[in-house]
Amino acid sequence: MKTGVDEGRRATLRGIAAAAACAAISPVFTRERVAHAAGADDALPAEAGLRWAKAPCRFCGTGCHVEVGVQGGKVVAIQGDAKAEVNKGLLCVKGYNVAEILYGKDRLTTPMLRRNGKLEPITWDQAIAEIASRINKAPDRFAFYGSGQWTVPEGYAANKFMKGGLSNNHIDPNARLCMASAVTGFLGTYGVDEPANCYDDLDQCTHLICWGNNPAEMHPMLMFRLTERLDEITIIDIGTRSTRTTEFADHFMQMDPHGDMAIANGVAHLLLKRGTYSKEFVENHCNFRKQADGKQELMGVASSFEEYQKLMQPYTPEHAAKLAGIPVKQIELLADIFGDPKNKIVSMWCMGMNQHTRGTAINELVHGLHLLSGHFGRPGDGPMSLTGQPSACGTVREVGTLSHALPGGRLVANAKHREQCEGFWNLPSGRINSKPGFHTVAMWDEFTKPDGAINMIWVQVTNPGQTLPNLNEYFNDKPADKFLVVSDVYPTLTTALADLILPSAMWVEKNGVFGNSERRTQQWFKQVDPPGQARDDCWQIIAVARKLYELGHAGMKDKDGTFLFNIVDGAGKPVPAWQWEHYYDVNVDEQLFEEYRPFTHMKHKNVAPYQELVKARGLRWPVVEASPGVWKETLWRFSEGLDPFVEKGKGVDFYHSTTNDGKAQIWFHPYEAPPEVPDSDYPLWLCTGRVVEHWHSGSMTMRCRALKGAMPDAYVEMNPQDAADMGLPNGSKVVVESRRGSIEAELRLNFRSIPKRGNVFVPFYDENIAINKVTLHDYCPISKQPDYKKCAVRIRKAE
Amino acid sequence: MNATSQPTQIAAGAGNAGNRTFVIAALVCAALAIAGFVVGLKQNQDSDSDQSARILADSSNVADIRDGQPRAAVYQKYLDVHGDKLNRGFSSQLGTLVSNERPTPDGDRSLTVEQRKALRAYDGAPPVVPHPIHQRDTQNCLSCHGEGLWIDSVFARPISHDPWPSCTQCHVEGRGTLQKWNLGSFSGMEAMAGVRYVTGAPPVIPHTATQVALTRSDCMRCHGTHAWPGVRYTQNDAHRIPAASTGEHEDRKIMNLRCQQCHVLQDR
Repeated sequence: MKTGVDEGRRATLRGIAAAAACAAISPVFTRERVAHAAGADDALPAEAGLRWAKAPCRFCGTGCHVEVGVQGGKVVAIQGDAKAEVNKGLLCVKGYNVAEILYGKDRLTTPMLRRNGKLEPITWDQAIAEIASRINKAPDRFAFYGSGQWTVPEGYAANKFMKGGLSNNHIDPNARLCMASAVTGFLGTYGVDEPANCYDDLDQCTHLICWGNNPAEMHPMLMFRLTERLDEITIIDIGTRSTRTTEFADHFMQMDPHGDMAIANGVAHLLLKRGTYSKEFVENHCNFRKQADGKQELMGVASSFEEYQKLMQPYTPEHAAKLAGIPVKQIELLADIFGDPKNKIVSMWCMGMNQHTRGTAINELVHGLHLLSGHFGRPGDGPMSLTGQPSACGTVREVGTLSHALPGGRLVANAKHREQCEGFWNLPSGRINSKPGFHTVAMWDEFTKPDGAINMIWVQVTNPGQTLPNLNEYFNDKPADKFLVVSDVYPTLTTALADLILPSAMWVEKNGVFGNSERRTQQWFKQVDPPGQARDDCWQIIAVARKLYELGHAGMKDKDGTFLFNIVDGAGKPVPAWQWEHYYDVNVDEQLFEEYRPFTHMKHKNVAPYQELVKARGLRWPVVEASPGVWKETLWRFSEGLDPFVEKGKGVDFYHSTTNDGKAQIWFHPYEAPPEVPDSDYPLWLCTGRVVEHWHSGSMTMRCRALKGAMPDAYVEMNPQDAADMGLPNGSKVVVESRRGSIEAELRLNFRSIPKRGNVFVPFYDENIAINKVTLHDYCPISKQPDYKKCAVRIRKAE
Repeated sequence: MNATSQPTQIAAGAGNAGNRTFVIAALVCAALAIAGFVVGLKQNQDSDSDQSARILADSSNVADIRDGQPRAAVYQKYLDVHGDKLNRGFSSQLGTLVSNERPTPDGDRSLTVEQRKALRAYDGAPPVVPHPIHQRDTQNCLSCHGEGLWIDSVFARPISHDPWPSCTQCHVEGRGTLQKWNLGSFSGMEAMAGVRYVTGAPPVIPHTATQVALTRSDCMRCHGTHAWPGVRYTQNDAHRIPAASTGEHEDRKIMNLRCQQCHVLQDR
């Protein structure tokens, strides 16, 4: 049964994959050619004067490794790293063009302070003093806004500075807008964050289900691994738009927005009704959970299998299909797939399920389908949540740069956790504030409203002026007495409102460590100098902390009076790392990483020692010392024989279970309509997202010739029939407006995607077409992650 | 529309012209076909033959070849079906695409390097596509770039590696050359020439091992019949290659291995 996909095209694609597979005798073909490349040494002719160094790509959460070609102090070439398991020597178009992000002509190279409305150059000493004295005046009204692009040491330094130094928990990352619902989904289900499986599953699964996910554009190297196996696997694409991923899909389930919840419940209903769920897995490894009446909380209340069955009763395939806007037979098809224990199923998702006003719920429902059907715990079989940023996992989730978290999965609200962290940091008891700080939307709300509790925000490595939801409300109307500090590499919509701009070093202009979507920690070394006066973000934090120390802020010392960031040389003698000329005297990254590493042991997320990471193209935690000096990574967690922390004889053990019995939680969540649905005034759904050429807010990719050339401006996509009905011709200028704001852009029909009827798509990368003026700020009540994928809009021809 | 199967050559055009014009056009096409047939027969006798399909087109009409056989003009179809103005640009931009020159074994290599640079951020970067493309179809590029295709006087070059199923994950629409964007000071690695360490020795391969294994995996696509000027293999006794093997799928792989018997990666 093929549903909605052009069989002829799919056959052609299969043909290419099959031809490649057939010709395996030659080393120049597909998997063999990849293997061949992996064995090769990559030296170029000596006269080129070129050296190659490893680094993870700067962009998305896939975590490909690139080889950086350096010549004469400049990056001059890039190639895929054949030694990297993630991308096996290939890259997507962004990876191939990543070098140009360093050399944009408008790089920020001088600190600048706004005086009388005008930005004027100042010295670094002045800039650091300005920040420190302002924080010192009102430490409680200061907030730090970072991102999943912070390196691990940067995020760790920021977190320690705020929570351990200023006793201030107002630190949150843009990752709140990106994968907070994935975190709460993992916590609610397994009691511990991050996927149990890894990308190797893509090489082994028989079925791939994309839940509102378009890996062909967003995670191209994962799609590459899948397209190598088109003749072996069945791909199911669930989404509101027909995309490049749909081109490769066997089944396309074009749902209505929010329909994912109905689909998941419909499938669970059928598994229960048919008795095709895994009685063995459920009995041995699962408990049931639900929300208390009228509540939305992370832990909910206990339920039972009987109650779960009863609650799932109403979600007949007919009812679910109607809610989701797909044919009944497609729900049945999914139930067939989950009901067959022989299948190996990977569910893959990213923003589609995370940017969702019921984000935690839909994450838990999809985990629940895998647990209920027993499709969990063996290679090729399990739920795989992806991230959009290179270190959303490594920095935000593991280092805990969130307003409620501490490193190592510790929580600020938990007295024992605070005590542990104070112990690690050698701080006096009670230093860490017990009250969670403001999460992202609340932080910016407090900053932008006149009587708000926050009067100063320092932004690093992100662009909230473009990526916050409902921008007119949360960013554009900053009161004059509020002070915004922005560390960045290019002018952005955020620096446009900044009072102080700090020029930052980026990517291979500094040392770094990232952590990708599959628990892989990746290290790289600085290769070239940053331009002008640009300096490392981590140095900026340490320099401000030192200035506060000098101003007498008691929090900048540990309980023995030692500076919080005590960087030392080989002989143990302190190095003044707060002075830029001494910052690279030693490897500050390594020292911070090694200081952080013991935190990771507390939830069995043991990251590898820094020096092991130096040797590897990333290692997937937990990394344990199998024998002296031999460190072994873990591909699959919670399964005996695969996870070193599962005891012999246990089979599957969820050793961080929230019910303390080694069991995971299968949640019931009802289908609930989104907060804003189209009506007669605003009759269309708006969905935002990305395109393959651009990453995040485009501040880097719009400086790359090939990427800007391919996709110079954002556009509006709608269903061609809707456009015809409204008399809007292809290529016309249209206005997209919601109750919150509007943008104007070109309408493109039959372009990158074809939205379902009644749906509109606009990518968010273009600062000139800031679609987040239109989007909704409503968020998941548990994860606090806003929904960028659905709100009500109308479209009219531009005057 | 006239088409002969050997050699593959079709004339598309004539379009809206009057009956008389059509007859003339048809005669011209027939003459070209016969000439092409004779030339083709002659060329097939040596290893230097250009076996690529040819399409003669005017600026308003483009056809394509699938599975080595001429078909109706699918780009026309795209125009009709999608009303997509971007694809309409394909034919109108035909005249602006690079390389109106037949490839020759000799020639100015520096010119070749310049032309290649126009579409590549650095040597080894995937070239951007110099014409509009269909945005969702991930592999119809191969219709023209699979084996190479003459469209009027423009040659759609064969890709330098065996295809992955998604062309567009690496190759994106360029909307002109990269030079038109003045975005920064990036200066990419230049292409290198293969060095001969001893007079008369075969030149070494100036690409990286990863490139040769993955993205420059088929030597003959760039250095064989369709080579740009100045980078073509020298025709001498050492390179006496059976005609049949230059165009055939399987043999090409063997060819590649043969190349690497004499031409080696440096500093492996």
